Amino acid sequence: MVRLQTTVSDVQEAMLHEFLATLRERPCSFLASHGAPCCDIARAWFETMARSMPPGDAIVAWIPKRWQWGPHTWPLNWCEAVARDTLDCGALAALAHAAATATGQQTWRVQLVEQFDVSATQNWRVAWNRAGANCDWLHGPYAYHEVIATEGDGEFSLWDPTDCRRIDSTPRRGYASIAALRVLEAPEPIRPIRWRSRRLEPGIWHCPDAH
Amino acid sequence: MRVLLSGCHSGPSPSSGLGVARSLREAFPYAWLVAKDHSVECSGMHHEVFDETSISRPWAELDLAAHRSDLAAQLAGGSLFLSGLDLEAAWLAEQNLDGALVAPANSFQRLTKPAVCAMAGLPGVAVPPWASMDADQREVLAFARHHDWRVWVKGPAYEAKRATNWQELRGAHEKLADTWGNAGLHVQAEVKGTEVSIAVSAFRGEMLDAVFMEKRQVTETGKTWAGAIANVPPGLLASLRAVLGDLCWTGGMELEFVRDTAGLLWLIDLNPRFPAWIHGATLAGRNLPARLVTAATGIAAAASPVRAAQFTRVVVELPVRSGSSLLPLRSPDLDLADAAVGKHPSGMPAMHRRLNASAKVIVVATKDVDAAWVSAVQKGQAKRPTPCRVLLHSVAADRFAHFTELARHLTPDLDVAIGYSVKTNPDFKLLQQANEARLLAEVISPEELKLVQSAGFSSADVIYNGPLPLPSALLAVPLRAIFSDSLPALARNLEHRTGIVGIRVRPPGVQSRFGLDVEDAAAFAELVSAMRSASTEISLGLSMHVQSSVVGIGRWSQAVRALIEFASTIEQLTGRPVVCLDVGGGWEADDFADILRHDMRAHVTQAKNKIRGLANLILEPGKALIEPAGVTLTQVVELRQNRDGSRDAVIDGSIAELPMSLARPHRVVAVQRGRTAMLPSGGDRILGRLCLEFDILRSQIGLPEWLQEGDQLWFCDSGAYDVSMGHPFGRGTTW
Repeated sequence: MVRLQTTVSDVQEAMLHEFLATLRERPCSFLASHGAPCCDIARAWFETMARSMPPGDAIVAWIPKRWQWGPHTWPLNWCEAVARDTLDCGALAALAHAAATATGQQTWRVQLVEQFDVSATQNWRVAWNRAGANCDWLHGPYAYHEVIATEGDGEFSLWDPTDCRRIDSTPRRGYASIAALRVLEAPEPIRPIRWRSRRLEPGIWHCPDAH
Repeated sequence: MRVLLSGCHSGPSPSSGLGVARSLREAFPYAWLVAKDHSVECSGMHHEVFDETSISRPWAELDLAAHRSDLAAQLAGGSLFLSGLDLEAAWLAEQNLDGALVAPANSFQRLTKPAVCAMAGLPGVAVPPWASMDADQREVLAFARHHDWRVWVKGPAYEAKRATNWQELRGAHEKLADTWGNAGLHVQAEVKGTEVSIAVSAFRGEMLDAVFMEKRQVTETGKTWAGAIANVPPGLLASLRAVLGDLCWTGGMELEFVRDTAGLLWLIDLNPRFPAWIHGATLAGRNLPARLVTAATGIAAAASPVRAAQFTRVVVELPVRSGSSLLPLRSPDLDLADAAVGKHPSGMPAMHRRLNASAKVIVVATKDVDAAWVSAVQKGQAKRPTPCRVLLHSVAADRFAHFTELARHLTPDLDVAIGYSVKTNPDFKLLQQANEARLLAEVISPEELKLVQSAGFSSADVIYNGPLPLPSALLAVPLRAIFSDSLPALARNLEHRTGIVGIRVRPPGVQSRFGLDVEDAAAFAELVSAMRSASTEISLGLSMHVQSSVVGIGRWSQAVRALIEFASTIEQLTGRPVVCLDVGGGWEADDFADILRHDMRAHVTQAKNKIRGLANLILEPGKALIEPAGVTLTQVVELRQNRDGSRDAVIDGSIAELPMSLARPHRVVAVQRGRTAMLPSGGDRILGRLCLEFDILRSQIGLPEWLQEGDQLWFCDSGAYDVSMGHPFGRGTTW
């Protein structure tokens, strides 16, 4: 039994690294603009809404209430995003980051690979295929995900705009645990970023709970 | 080792007895554990962890002295008793029973909720603001308003009910008073954040251990269903250790907090016993009950291994203990208060009422009433029979002048005007006074427009701002400004009018049927498009009317900030200046002067900074302007003595004359020949003349001893909607 577990673990680790290799050049999701009034007004409306709320409320209350998580195609323009009822995690993280920026709060975009199980990712694959959306965010039991981070005392705190919850600062294992994370941009001025007491190098995928 | 454990109910709102028993069983496999409670409905006692059960009679009927003797006998052989019930623990502390692991009685006094003065010095800990429900109802109302109607009505030891308006607050109060009695009820501000707890174990003032628990799942009533155990932050732990030493604490304790985004811990509850989730800490290797028993007996406990730092609860079915068969369900015909026995099978409501039976109803002295004001009201009544209204025009004139002056000093850079909302009281003389005081008139209908014109208002001093579009025939009237309630009405006004044309907006987070919902991106885009293409003869305006008395003062301010943000964005997107803002408050009269002196200054500064074209600011205070100018005079037609000692005064007035009684309490003055008194809070009621169950004009009011049938009760602050919304119900006439 121990031997079998080791084998399963080895296979999963190989899949994870395979997946990370495909994600090497993947940027964080961003909302495009038609360069026309439709997108100018949509973006201005969104930023005004964010500024109209008590500090932080746009991210923790408004966005999760206004948009459900679901599939759509990319690229996505501002005017399309504000008109939709569902957005995927990349669009939600982009909106959360934009809301924070509009209210003078500094946040960082964070890319994650989360581990679920194959039945979960297969189910998502069906839903995304049905919507004509890309499934390149799924690989075996792993799912690519985007969240945002705030910084306090040199430590990152992660907020998941899709699930509307803080990501545990203590390690978790198994279903919905974080297999890898990456921060693309370093804070300015350059300083070390830490999460769960581990130093994160910008642009590098880290496996936080790997032994 | 024999240990009696009480608080054995393990339902959706469990007590701690079962969790403590499971932890003690793990540490002391050969201990004899006794489930001691007051009903076979206490489900946890059927768990196999208990070796024996001991069921006492319900607290409501127990002879407490005999119960004490029984406990003393049970503990005489060296047994221990750990109470899992807050009120029982406090009672036990006064009994001086050997074997009872409980703190000294005087330490409980320092833990009285909600102030919990013993914990006042803990670093990073604060108690949310609160007010006693014994206070004057208008003070309670003001408290709720100042906390944006995010408040909880709380029982003295258990239970809390959320209230978002006056009716809910009164309902919650009545329900909790039915269950627990009136003693110790209070209202407390809600704090947003994450729920966390600290559980401690102490013996004779020495802290044995403490753990921190963050809730991960909660039940509908906020009870822990899953949690994560961690260490208490070191600074807090050291201070808590000192407090427990000072209290000479023995036993368990739970401090319940809401941790806000800044990390501050708001103490929302304190329980003088282990929490129901205590076995979750044991599963994390921190067996607090075992530490206590070891300290008390010297008997070493078996180690509790660390199984997980997180725990969850499940529902399991247990065989009912032989010899403790369950009772049939209580009759569904029982009223709610009695049915609550099933919710509190250990009988805590009965115990609280019993222990507080001697608590006196707080008698607050009546307040004096200004003699000149009394004289003015009497003069206004002349010889008219009650019920009748008196409008104190001198009060109105003073208020018009005062608020105009305050508004004038807000800023020299803008034309700031006060708008008189005609719908609040369309009294002709008041309108003339408002015009003389250079107030603007805000109207919502062609009829009101005609009325104010006949009262002397120039149409240039009138604002039209209501859901009813201005009829085509009046579109040419040169009003100061016109605001529409919808995009189609705005389009029509933009096409046919000149001058200030605007729209009423509904700011984010505001529940209202009025105004353009700016949360709707498509509607906002349409608004921008319409305003951008408006004729150059049009000056743009935005209006926002939200009742501060309904949403609370903080949320009203947030709505104004939102309005200013949207006005600024509209300027940027249209390239057109937003010239006029019309903000309405529906303030309580008590609040408005302070709003003008403080909050409004910040809003004006923000508006000037953000809206580059802003030239006119119109403040429409609604009822706050003239409410104190009206008094409704009624007569006591019958005084009823109730069995509980309280009294009901039946008057010849009703909610027909005082419709706002349903929304908030009026101040009431009792008048007898030669004497007057402003009535304080108390246990009495004032009932109206109508055959309507809800025709109760005041509850929790203290009628003076001297009040007699034939005396008058004057309802103050009835100069606004009580006048304009009053109706002839029950007078034999139709509308």
